[in-house]
Amino acid sequence: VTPLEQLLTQARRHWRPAVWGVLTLAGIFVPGTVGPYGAYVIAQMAVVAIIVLSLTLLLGLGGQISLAQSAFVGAGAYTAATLERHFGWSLWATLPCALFVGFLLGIVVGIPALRLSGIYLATSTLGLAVVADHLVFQLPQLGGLSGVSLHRPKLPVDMVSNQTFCYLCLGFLALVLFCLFRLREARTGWWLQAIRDDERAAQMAGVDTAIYKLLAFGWSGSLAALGGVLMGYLALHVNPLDFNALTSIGYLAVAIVTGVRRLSGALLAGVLYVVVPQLAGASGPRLAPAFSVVLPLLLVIGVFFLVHGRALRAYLEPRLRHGLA
Amino acid sequence: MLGVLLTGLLTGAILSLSAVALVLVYRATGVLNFAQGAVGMVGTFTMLSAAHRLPLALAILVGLAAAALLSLLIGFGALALGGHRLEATVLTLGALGAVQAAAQLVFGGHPIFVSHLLAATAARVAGASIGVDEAISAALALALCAGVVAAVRLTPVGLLARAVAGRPDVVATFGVDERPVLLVSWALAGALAALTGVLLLTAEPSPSTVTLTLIVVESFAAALVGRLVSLPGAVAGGLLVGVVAANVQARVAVPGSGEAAVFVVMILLLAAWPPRPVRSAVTATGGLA
Repeated sequence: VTPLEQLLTQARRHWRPAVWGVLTLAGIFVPGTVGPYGAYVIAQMAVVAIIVLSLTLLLGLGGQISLAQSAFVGAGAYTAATLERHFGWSLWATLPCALFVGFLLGIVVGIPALRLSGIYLATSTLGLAVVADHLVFQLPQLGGLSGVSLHRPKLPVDMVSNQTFCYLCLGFLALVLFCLFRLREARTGWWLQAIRDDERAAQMAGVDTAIYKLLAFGWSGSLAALGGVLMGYLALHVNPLDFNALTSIGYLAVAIVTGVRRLSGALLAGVLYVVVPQLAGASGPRLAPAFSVVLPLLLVIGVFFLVHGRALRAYLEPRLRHGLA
Repeated sequence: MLGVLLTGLLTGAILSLSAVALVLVYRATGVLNFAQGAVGMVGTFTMLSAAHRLPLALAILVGLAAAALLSLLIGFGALALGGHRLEATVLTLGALGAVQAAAQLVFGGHPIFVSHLLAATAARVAGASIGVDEAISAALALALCAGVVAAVRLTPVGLLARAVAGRPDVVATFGVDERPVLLVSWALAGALAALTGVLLLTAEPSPSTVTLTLIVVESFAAALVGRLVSLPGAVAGGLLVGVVAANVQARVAVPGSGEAAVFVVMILLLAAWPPRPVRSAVTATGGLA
C-alpha cells in the first residue's frame, strides 16, 4: 500500500465530515466578505434551503407529498407581519407564534393524509395552497395585494445590515440541519421512514401511523413557516404574490431534483433556486424570464432519472469502463 | 337566486368538459394530469393569437391542434415512465410549471381582455343577465360531453379504451397494443382542455396564463364527484362545482371565496370518500416515496 493509496482511503472515509466542515467555515467567513448584496443572496439561499428541508422531512423521511408548502411559508410570513403591524412585536416574539401557526396549519393539511396518499394527497394539498393564496393572503385585513412591511430586530445585535441578518438565517439553517440529523437517527425518525417504506407493515409493527403522519406535517409546516418568517424579514416586505400556489411546485421541483432524501440536497436546492434567477438577471432582460422554465424542466428530467436512472447507469457504466480501459 | 343558479350551471357546464378530459386520461393511464389546465391555456392563447389573422373557426382549430400536440408530448413522457404513476403525475406537475412559464414568456403575464367572440347580446333570465354566447358555449360543452360519453360507450375505439381502463392485463394477454389508445386519450384530453378555455372566454373575458392554468384544480374537484372514473359523474360534478362557486361567491363578497369553497368541498369529499386507484398492466417498483 503506497502512501498515496493510504491517503485516498482516508479521504474516502472522511470526505463527508470534511465537506460539512468546509461548508461551516464558508458559512462563517463568506457572508462577511461579499458585501451587502452578496449577503442578501446567501441569506436567500439559506431561507430556501430551510423551506426545502421542510420537504425533506415530510416527503424524504415521511413519504408524504405536499404541494401546500407555499401556504405554510406564507402563513409564517403573514403571522410575523400581522403581529408586528398590530402589536409592534419584534422577530423574537413573532417567530414562536409563526412556528405555532405553521404547526397548526400543517396538522390541518395533514388530516386528509390520514385517508389519502400519492396523487390524491398532492391534489388536496394543492387545493389548500390555492385557498390560502387566493382567499386568505389577499384579504384586505392582511394588506391586500400591496402586502405588509416588516422591520428587522435591533436586539441583541442590530440586524438592519444584510450581513448580520444573513448570519441569523445561516444559524437557523444549521440548527434545522442539526435537528433533522438527530431526528433521522431517533426512534421517531425510524418510524417515519417505516411509514414511508410500507405503511401497513409499520402499522403491524405497532406504530400509530396517524400520529406520526400528523407530526410530520406539523413539523414540516413549522419549518416552512420559519422559512417564511426569515423570508419576510429579509425582503422587509410580505406580498401575496410570493406565496402563489405555483411556487409550491417550484419548491417540490428543486427538492426532488437535488435529492429529497438527502439533507445535503436541500443546500444544493437553495443554491439552485436562487442562482438560476440570478443567472437570468445577469444574462440580460431579454433572456431573463427564460430561466423560469429551467426549474420545472429540471423536475421533468429529474423524474426520468428517478425512474430510469439505475437502468441508465447499468447501461452506461460497463461501456464507459470499457471505453476508458 | 335562480339567476345565480343559472350562471353557475352555465360555467359548470363548460367546466365539465375539462373534468371529462381529466377522467379520460386518468382512467386509461392512472395519471392525474396536472398539466391539463396549462395545456388548455396554451390552446386558448394560441387561438387568440391566430384569431388576429385567421377566421375564428380556423383559429379555434389551430388552438385545439396545438393543445392536442402538447398533450401528446406530455403523454409520451408519461408513457416512458411505465407504471410509475406517482412519478408520471409529478412529471405533469413539472410540465405544468414549464408550460406556464414558457407561455408567460410568449403571451405575457397580465390578463388580456377579449371582446366577445360570438353574439354579445344578453338576455335577462330570472333577474340575472345571461350572455347568449355563454348559453351557446354551455350547450356546446354539454353536447360534446355527451358525444365523448357516447363515443366511449358505442364505438370500437371506445370499447378498446374501456378494456384498457378496466383490465389492462387481459388486453395485454390478447396481444393488443394499448399505447395507441393511451396516446389518443392524451391528445383528446388536450383538445378538450383547449376547448374548455376557449368556451370559458364567453364567461370570463379576461383570461391570464395563471387563471387558465389553475382551472385544473376546479376540474379535479368536478371529476372527483364521479370518483375520477365516471364520465357522467364528471359532468354532474362540473355542474355542481359551477353552482357551488356561483352561490358562495354571491353570498360572500370576498373575491375568490367561490373557488375556495369548491376546494374545501373537494378536500372533504376526498377525505370522506377516497377514490380507489385504477388498475395497471405494469406493477411499479422503486421511484418516489
